[in-house]
Amino acid sequence: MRFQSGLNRRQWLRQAGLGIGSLAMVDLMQREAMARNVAPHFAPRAKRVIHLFMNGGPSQVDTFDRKLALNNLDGKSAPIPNLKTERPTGNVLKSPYKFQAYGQCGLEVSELFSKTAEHADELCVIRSMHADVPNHEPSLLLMNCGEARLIRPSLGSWITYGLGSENENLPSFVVMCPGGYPIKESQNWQNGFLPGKYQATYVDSSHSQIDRLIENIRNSAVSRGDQRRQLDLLNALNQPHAISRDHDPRLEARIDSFELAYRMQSEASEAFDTSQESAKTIEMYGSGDFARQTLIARRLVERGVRFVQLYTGAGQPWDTHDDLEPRHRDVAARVDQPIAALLTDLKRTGLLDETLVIWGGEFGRTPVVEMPKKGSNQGKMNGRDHNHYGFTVWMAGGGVAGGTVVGATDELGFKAVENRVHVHDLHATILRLLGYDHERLTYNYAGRDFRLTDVHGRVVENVLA
Amino acid sequence: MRTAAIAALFLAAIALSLVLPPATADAAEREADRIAFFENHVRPVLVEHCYECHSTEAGEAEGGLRLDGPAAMRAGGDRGAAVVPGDIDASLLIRAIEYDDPDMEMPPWGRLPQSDIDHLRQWVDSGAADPRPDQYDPSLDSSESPLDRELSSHWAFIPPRRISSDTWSNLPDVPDSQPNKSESSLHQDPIDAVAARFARRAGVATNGSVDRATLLRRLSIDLIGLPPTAEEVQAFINDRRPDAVHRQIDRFLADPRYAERFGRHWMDLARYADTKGYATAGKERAIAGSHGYRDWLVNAFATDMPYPEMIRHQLAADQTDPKGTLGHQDAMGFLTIGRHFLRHDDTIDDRIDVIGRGLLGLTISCARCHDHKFDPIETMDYYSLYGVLDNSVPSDSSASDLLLVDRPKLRNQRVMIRGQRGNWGPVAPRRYLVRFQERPEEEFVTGSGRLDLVERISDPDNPLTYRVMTNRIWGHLMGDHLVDSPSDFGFRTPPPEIPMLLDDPAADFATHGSIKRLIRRLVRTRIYRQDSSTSESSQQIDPDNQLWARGHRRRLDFESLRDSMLSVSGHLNEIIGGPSVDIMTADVTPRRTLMARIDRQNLPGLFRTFDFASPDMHCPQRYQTTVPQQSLYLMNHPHLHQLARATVATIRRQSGNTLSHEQKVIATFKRVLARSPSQGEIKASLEFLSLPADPPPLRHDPRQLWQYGTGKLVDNKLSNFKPFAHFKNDRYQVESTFPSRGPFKYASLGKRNGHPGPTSNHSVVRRWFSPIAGRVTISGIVGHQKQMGDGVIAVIHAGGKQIFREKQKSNRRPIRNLTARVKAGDAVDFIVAPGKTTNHDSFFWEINLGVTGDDGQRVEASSQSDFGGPNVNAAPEGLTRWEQFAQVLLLSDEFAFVD
Repeated sequence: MRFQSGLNRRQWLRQAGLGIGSLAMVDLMQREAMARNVAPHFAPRAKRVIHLFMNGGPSQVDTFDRKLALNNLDGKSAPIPNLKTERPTGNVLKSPYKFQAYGQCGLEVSELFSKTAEHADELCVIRSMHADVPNHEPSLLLMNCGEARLIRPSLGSWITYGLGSENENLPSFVVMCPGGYPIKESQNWQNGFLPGKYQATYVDSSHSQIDRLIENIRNSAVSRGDQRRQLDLLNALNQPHAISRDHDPRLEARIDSFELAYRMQSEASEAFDTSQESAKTIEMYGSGDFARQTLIARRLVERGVRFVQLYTGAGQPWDTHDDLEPRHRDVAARVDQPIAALLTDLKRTGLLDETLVIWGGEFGRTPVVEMPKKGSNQGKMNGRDHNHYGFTVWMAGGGVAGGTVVGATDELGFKAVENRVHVHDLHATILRLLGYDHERLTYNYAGRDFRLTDVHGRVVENVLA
Repeated sequence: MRTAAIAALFLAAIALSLVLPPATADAAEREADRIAFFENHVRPVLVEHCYECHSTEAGEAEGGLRLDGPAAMRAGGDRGAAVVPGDIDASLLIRAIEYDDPDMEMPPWGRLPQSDIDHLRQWVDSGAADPRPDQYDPSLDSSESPLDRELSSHWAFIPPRRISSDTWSNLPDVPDSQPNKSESSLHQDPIDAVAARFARRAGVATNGSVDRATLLRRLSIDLIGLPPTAEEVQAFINDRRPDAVHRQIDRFLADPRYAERFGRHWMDLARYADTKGYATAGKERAIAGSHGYRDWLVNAFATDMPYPEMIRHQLAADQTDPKGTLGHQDAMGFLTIGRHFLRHDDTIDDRIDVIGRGLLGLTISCARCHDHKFDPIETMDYYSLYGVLDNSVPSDSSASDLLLVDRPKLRNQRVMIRGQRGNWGPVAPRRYLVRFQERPEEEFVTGSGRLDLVERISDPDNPLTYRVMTNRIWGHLMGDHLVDSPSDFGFRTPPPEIPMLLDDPAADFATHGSIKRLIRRLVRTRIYRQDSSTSESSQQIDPDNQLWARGHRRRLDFESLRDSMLSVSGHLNEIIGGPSVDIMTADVTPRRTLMARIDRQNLPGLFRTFDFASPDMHCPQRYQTTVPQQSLYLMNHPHLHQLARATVATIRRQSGNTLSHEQKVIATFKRVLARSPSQGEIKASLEFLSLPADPPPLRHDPRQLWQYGTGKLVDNKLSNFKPFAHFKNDRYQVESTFPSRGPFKYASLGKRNGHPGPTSNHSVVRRWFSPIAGRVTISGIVGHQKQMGDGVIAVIHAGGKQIFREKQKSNRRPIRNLTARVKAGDAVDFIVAPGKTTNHDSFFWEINLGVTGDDGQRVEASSQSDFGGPNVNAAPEGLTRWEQFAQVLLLSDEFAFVD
């Protein structure tokens, strides 16, 4: 006997910590029907997540981690030797952007995120993030899957596995990226050893036609009315078949799945159709692919989708080894207004209380300039290299201590020095906000219990409201 | 264990509350400060730097020391107390982190920052306040490590034995244990009799046999992965010869489609894919000759190669077929077809895993960083096998790209302490798992040792190899495994409820090694033939069917579902073997699903939706999920519509065009479900057929808007556009032979790739017509993979104007939001011309474009999902009522399950 979750009964019981034969069959099926696969260990503060992934690595000292020292040292060598990053770096490079204090908390934010900054009192800015290496591929995987090299399930897969689906008519885990994949492609949202249904549904949000956004959502050969008649006949044939087979739950589940799919056609189409929004709302989010996918994200969490991840764009848009000033400005201009609108919108509808919004890249950038080299930065000396020693991630929404700053980098913003938060710690904290003890959200595979944080991770208490 | 731990925690909490005196407000405040100090400055350091080797959570207590609780710290480890509150000098923890004593420097990977050390000193000095509960895990403290446990105490580590008279005398006693005559005649196989005895003792009645029609469907799906036709069912029912069933079984086992079915099962174990995984810009991702491994497997199963020999070729074809003249070199895909990780150590780890779990049912990879926590496998064992595989490298001069040969100069492998390269331990001799051999220290003698390893694994006395394989075969045939962790037979895995069901066939299999013989035996049993109905009492007493007193209903996996649909529609092309094919093309690819090209980096959603084996890791068994995305595919994908049409066309071809509605219903039931419909089914179906079909939803076929051809590109002007005349192997080309014998040579366009002809007069053009006037926006990615040659020139014209022109060489170039105005009917051309040289000009180009009309209307296009052959209908045709009916039957539960 296999269950919908993909576990067979014995495995399921083992995972649930129950003895075999301790529950009657019927009871089991009812439990199975419940959304959650893993009971929460704490009262959940958030039910859903929107992860705004700034792929490529935004510079912390140009956004949410202002360093006055850079102005004085601009063009001079740093007082402490530069840490080793991917490429050779040189003297201090000051931030070309203006900063301003926002909100009651007085959070200093650069002009790149001036609109998002209007929500300063909602943000918990973790300035002491650190990762393991200064390269995109392993850092993307670390941020997404808690493991830089091996095949492991992504954060979104773990969360949808734990929390289950809140709306059967929509996929539980949706990833949007306009114009193609980020680097590392679909590995970023892989399900690893978890069942296939916990992998994300990927959507290229540069499309707006529904049948190009979601696979198989439209039928080109059978009208909706005829399809209804097809399903009615299907039911008429399936029902006696199932009845004569003791109502085998797998047969009945498959019968249900056609009805679900039928409803999904309209519900999913509607969820992805931003044209149903008022002109005012569309204007608030602004134009462009990122704006549209952010608005879709709000429509999805509204409908119970668990985890929505939004990439800034294909490839690595924030990766500014050269021409930092115009390029960061350009990328930020695409995301700032939609993000601000998202927060406004979630607040307005009360959804922010139970939705966790996460902003950040796979790492940050150096406060010192990258040395010119043909082929890697067009021989220019006006950009920043990757920096995994210290960077910024912020969170807002369900259970997050808004208007706070956690941890700090050194004087230059190079390295996290106070209350250091490793990516594993971030994951442990995210799971905590969703009601899980990261040490106990496990899955048995290949002879052992795996978890998102492997043998690491601590909950960063200061983040919790 | 869990209960004990909770109880211990609980007791610790009570103990704490008793010991601490009720404090004054002042004292409480100081205590709170001390605890805050611990939380802010001590716990993070311990967690980050120490827990990995010294905590219950990590299951590690190196040197007998745990640092995850106050009592454990004070008790210390082998060397004494780690922490003596208030006494820095006596606290070994402090001495270790100071790095003053070369014998004791912790953490081993580097001294902590001074600030951390200062904090820990201050903490010890001020009394080492520590609010953590004392964790207790008896398995850590228990004196018995898995390395000390006797192998003979675990069922799976003792060689399996046949059922004998001894077995019978030890079987559970049943009051009326003498089976009656009619019952014993059913028990042709001793496992049938044993299972019946167990069932009787438990008070569960064994089910009777299924009818002939159900038996044939069961055998057919299980053995060849395809359903029988109505004619075959009828012939089988009518075959009254006493050995009719046996004859049928033998026919299936002799059928090449049997080899495809079981070859695919093995591909799950071997994490088969056609690509290496992630590779950076422009690097080739295909594994050259990947399909050779699949074809070798199919051939091995077809010829019933003995299992030990199968293992030998898959691990050591360089020695069984050194010149490649025997056709076995591709067998080493078993090792080399896995993901190519960026780090060598991870690639080796993947190979150790596929051997360990795949062949032995042992999770050897768990011993990469520390001795196995549950099984008798040391870290040293891991690096012994690491040494074997590290000394196995690709060869420049072999017949197969999948082959590994021994390193010309062997190198010794040291243990990597905690799995970290550079953290070297002692040399790990190349040898078999020490606990699992009689002379533990015996080392491998031939080269890398792969051949010695084969001998150990395939030894008929190996307690695991044949059991593991027998359990897998059982699972494929019976619908569920006897041991439900098929790739982990370690200490923690319980034996089957009826161990003889596994042991007797496994012991037999170890003597003959014939997979067909094993399968033949199992499908001939009474157990196999039992029907799958349940009764209240069988549900109550044996809900999991561990007593095998009834059959298991099974659902078709992705391959057999898709293959069955191809088969009943009359669309299946049964050519065996050859390069993998894309099954995600717009038109149905009529090949069996095992031929599908598997891109492990970006496995199409369809595969995952239908629980296909992950191509990234050894896959012991498939998940079985039911999700609406499966139904969406079956309802809406044009493939299904095409298959429904083909089903009806096949019936028309066979039965003519003049069928009545009732004849149509009967013929379609027979075609799809291999049976005649009941009266009730006929009635419901006739009602459906009697209504006319609606016209299809109005929609353009997006494929119609694309054209593929050649042209002359001179001075930014394109002329002489001429559509390609031929479409072959999913590629547009100039003539039916490729490369063309004329001037266009390699000029061609595929779904994603292409190649220009020799000069810019022979450029290739992918053309899209805008159906509306408006602003077109173009995004995508273009590039060129080869290192040699001078690359190609990629050009975009929209409405006759050039909007992009760039040379591409060894690159991957994203294109973002190029825009231009177009009129209705204007062409947008994606042109590729060669550079000066004409070689190495293969390119790829993925294009997404959309036009927003002046009236707000929007049309989008994608070069990949819109790609298809030239036979595009002028307007997409709706399904006729009959075709809709055929689709319904393809969607039915009866079609998707085997009783």
